[in-house]
Amino acid sequence: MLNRVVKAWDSFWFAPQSLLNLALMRIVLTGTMLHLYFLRSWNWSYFTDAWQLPRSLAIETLDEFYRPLWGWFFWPDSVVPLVHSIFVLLILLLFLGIGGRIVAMAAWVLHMGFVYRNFGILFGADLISGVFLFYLAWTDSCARLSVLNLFKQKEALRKNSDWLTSAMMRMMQFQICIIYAYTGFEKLKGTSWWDGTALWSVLANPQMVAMDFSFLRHVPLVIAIGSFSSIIFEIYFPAAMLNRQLKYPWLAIGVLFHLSIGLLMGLMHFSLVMISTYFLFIAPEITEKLVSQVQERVFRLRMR
Amino acid sequence: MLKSKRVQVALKCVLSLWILYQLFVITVMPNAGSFVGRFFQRAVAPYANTFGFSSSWNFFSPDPVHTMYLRYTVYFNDESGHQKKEPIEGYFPSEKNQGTFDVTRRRDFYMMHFMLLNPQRLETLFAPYICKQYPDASSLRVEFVVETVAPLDQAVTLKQESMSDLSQELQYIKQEYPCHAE
Repeated sequence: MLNRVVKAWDSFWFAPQSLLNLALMRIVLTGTMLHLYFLRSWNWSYFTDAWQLPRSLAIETLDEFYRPLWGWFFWPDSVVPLVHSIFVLLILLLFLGIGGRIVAMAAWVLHMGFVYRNFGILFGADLISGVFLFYLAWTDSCARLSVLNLFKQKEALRKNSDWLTSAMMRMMQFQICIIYAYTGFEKLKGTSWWDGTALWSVLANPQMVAMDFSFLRHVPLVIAIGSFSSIIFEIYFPAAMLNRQLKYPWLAIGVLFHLSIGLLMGLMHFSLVMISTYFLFIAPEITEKLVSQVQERVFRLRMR
Repeated sequence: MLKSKRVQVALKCVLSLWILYQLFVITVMPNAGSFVGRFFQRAVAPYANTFGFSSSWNFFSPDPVHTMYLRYTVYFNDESGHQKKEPIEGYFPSEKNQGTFDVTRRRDFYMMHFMLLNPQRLETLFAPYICKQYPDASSLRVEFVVETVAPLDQAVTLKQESMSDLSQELQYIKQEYPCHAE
């Protein structure tokens, strides 16, 4: 009995998984981070004493319960532009598939430094990308879809993960399911979500959306359907990932859901970070087929 | 060969223990205020906070917020209280009640929310920053302004009214802070 449990555990967490799915996730995640943090280069003063949060108060200003053991921002404020540039460069390397675990770990450490130097200005995308960058840093994420592979023989490419990578891929699946479940549960605490009008509070708030959505009051049922659908999608995401019939429709709805949020509310970075994790749920045969089709088309275009 | 297999088994055991702990952390921390969260606080919170697993994942919840911003007035009085210069009024974020898609500007909105989660931050972070922008300022008055979003029922019933007409302006935390405080 114990032997069977150990075998099942070993197979669930450590059995080889597709490195292609991980590489696709890496590209979308780090590509999104690259854009977000390249733009943050214009805000580097937010991480110095020149702005609202002095270095001496960076940790102290957090509620005691949420204080880290150390702040990660080991560099002086005077070198913030340099450190930020190095951080963006590391993310670029990861996007290109260069450097693997060491580069990813270095990028994560710098990311955490910026997170705790000014916790107040964090987007949801900053927090979630930090979480997934942590897991990614333990994986062999650059083994596939790396620019370095252009100089390698196709046969030399590894297709399946080592056991540490597999464990982290599983952990990422758990992590995204927990994030979705909690976002749904938290909404159930709100009277406006329970009432089916919360989406209105978002779309009618000029600070949250780019255009005037007040015309939706002429079709109020759209608001109610949208509000309840959001909660159902989020709460049942973990269950849907366990069900073969529901998994792909749920992921497709998720893509539409996040792209809508991204376009209507200007939260595209957040949306893409969430969508990046979807690759971890797709069957490897599908992604292998899609990627080889793309490669064939590129090859044909080159031959013309 | 045998030795490397043993090492691998040992490493897998260590990793398995971490997996169990990590699953516990990421499940408990989003609801850290619960009994379980409080009970295991010392075993979970320092690790979760340090490695970035302490978020509560409450996007737009429990209820989406109303339009909000900080309105501040900078005063320039001499020691006897006479006005040296006209007061200056400003807003944080400077976009006031309008949103922005500019990522480089949007972080100000998040900072404003961060300060309002604990209004003491207005005194320790915001007031000293604004006073620093105006070296000859004597004091600063800060108001937290909420422009309500009319409920859907009201917006549906009063279709002929514009949304801005249905909105109410509410002021909270009207507070004055001295600049050059010792």
